[in-house]
Amino acid sequence: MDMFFLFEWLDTSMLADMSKAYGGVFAVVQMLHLTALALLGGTVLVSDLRLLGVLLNDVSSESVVSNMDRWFSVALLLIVVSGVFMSSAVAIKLYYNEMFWAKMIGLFFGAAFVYFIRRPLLRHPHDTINVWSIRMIAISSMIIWFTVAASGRWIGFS
Amino acid sequence: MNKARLEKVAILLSSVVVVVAIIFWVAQVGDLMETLCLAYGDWCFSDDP
Repeated sequence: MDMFFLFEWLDTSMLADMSKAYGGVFAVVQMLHLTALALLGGTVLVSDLRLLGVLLNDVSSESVVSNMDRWFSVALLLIVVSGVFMSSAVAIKLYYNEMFWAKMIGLFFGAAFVYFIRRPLLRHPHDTINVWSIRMIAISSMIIWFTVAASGRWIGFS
Repeated sequence: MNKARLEKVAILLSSVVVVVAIIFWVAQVGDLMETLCLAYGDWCFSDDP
């Protein structure tokens, strides 16, 4: 499906006018985007390393994961909203950027993985879940979000 | 989806993610090194003729 029309629309939208005209607003939104990315990375690392038994072993993994899940959703929402604003400034350029698409695929796959597989499974008591399922979920989750963050950083270089 | 099926799907999808991510980053490693080199200095280029 060709999504060029979406980027063309974004490039000529009011959002793009604002992001191109007001450098200060763009900088503040970019700061929010990066802060949210750090928050998301923190929640992923804490909950996945707890699932792997690396840290916070004196706290139940159910408690750690459910606490981190709330902040994960807040961070993801912030990332998406601020990301749309930031991408409006360079919408056409991003459309032709391979790393942008790598990031988007990682982001959508990662979000689907969290909300349709990881959370429904981890709602069950963790000691009743196959230990390899938990380990694989934790490892793949860290890999997905590392790929999202690293390819996002790479957009700036390409 | 019941728990047993979720467990199987989780293992399968996670394995796919690990394999795809390894292939992706190995395929990008040349570009990655060049990008890091251009961005942060010329440490990966040799001055020797």
